Amino acid sequence: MYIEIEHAKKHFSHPDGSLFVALEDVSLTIKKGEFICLLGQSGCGKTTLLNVIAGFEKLSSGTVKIEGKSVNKASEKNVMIFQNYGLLPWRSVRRNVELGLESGSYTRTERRKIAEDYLKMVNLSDFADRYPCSLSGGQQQRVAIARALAVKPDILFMDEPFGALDAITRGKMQHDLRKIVDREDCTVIFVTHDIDEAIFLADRIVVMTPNPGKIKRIFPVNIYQPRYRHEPDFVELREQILREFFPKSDRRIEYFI
Amino acid sequence: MKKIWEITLSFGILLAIWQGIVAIGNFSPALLPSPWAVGEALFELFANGVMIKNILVSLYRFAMGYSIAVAFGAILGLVLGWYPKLFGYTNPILQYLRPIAPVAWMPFVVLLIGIGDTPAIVIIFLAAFFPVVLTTANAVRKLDPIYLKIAANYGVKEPEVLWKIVFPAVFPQVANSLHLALGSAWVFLVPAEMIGAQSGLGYMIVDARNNMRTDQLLSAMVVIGIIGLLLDLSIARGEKTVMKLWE
Ligand SMILES: Nc1ncnc2c1ncn2[C@@H]1O[C@H](COP(=O)(O)OP(=O)(O)OP(=O)(O)O)[C@@H](O)[C@H]1O
Ligand SMILES: [Mg+2]
Repeated sequence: MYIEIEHAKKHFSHPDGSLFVALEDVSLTIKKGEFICLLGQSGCGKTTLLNVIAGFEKLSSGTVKIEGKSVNKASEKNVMIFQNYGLLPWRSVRRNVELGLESGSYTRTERRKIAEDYLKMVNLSDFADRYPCSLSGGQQQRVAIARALAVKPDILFMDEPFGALDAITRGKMQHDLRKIVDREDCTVIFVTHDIDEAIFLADRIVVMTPNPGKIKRIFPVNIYQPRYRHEPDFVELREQILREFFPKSDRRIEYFI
Repeated sequence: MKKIWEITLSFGILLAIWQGIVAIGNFSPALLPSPWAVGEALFELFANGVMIKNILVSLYRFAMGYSIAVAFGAILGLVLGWYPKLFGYTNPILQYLRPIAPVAWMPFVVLLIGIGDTPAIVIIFLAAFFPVVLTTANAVRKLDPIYLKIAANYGVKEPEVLWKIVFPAVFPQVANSLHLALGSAWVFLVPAEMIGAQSGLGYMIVDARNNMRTDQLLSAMVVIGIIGLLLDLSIARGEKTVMKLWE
């Protein structure tokens, strides 16, 4: 398997000395090129799991391997798109996208060309010389995506990337993202708490539950792309996932979502 | 346009108050000269070259002291902020030395080195160094960890990370401290030259006092104030330029 997570456990020690278990015995394998959505309510350890796979945090016990090698630090091949975009405010959009190319063997003109290609891909060609602070949230998000894709990552980690966007922009971004990653052939691990978003994007949906954070169930999504929210398979899968979160007794809650 | 009008008006009021005190106070003109008399003294000092010579001497000392302080302060601040252990050992010393007024070192410096350019340069250095080094170190320590994650994620390696990520990220705070340090360093130029030098704007004040030339004394004060304002304006310009540089 491409990514192998075995008996991953992560606890945080609080200042008062007590231990908080953020991940309890998580095991998961991911194929190359797969699009995985981590779905679950706040505090169930989605960000923690993402950080562990990306090498930003160390496990308390258990192992994470990518292509058979243990992960112990962040790598240029596996790029994270942070919840707050993480653009460098002192660099123009273009220079933000060039960031990951500067340590490679590219010349100045090559870097510029690549950055322009990816900015075009996310429809921001006209914004290359602007600064992040003068862009809208959705535009910043697209710059972050262009910057990540420009280094041709093997794995793309995304932590609730569309959480702050309006419904229309979000729908368009979901559509574009799926198209782009299919073309670029990279593996994606995508955190969300939006069930529809997960069904729309994922090859497999990993449902997590909190206290302690663990995997409750994994749903494969066998619906052809492009997917439509009203087709029967989509609706049926949504029902199944909702049932996972709300057992029969409080079925009424789902009408509020 | 409105701004120029405001400035003209405020200085006009200042001159009017001065003239008013001279008129009402009935002091001896030798003790409190009128604005007009100071204007004449200024003209004389510029005409005979004395003022220009002293301005150049003072600016030279100031530029030396300030730029050494900025270079050392910013570099040391970066290093101290980057290595928390080192900061732990150094911070108490810096905090201890900082509140000692730079001028307090003066007798010591004069005894060791003698009068001339060096004591003034040392005082200006001390006045600018502490705010710069402490602000820089603290800004680096409080750097948003996300920038370092991004650096690690996009393959920005250890020495590069300093000028590609850390320095631009802390630059706004550092620039602010440079700005403040510039003002306070200029303030300390006068006492430094009053004690440790035989030339410069600060020395002009001592010399004018010794010769009972209050008109020349006030002329020196006027020029010190104007240069202070100009320095302030030029560093604001400089900040903008450097901000572009990191882009
Ligand atoms: N550095 C830390 N120190 C202590 N506890 C932490 C730390 N990071 C996370 N936790 C705890 O671990 C649990 C899981 O956090 P995590 O951020 O992974 O949740 P999440 O599923 O991403 O939630 P959300 O959807 O709100 O982002 C939370 O209860 C959180 O309080
Ligand atoms: Mg999270």
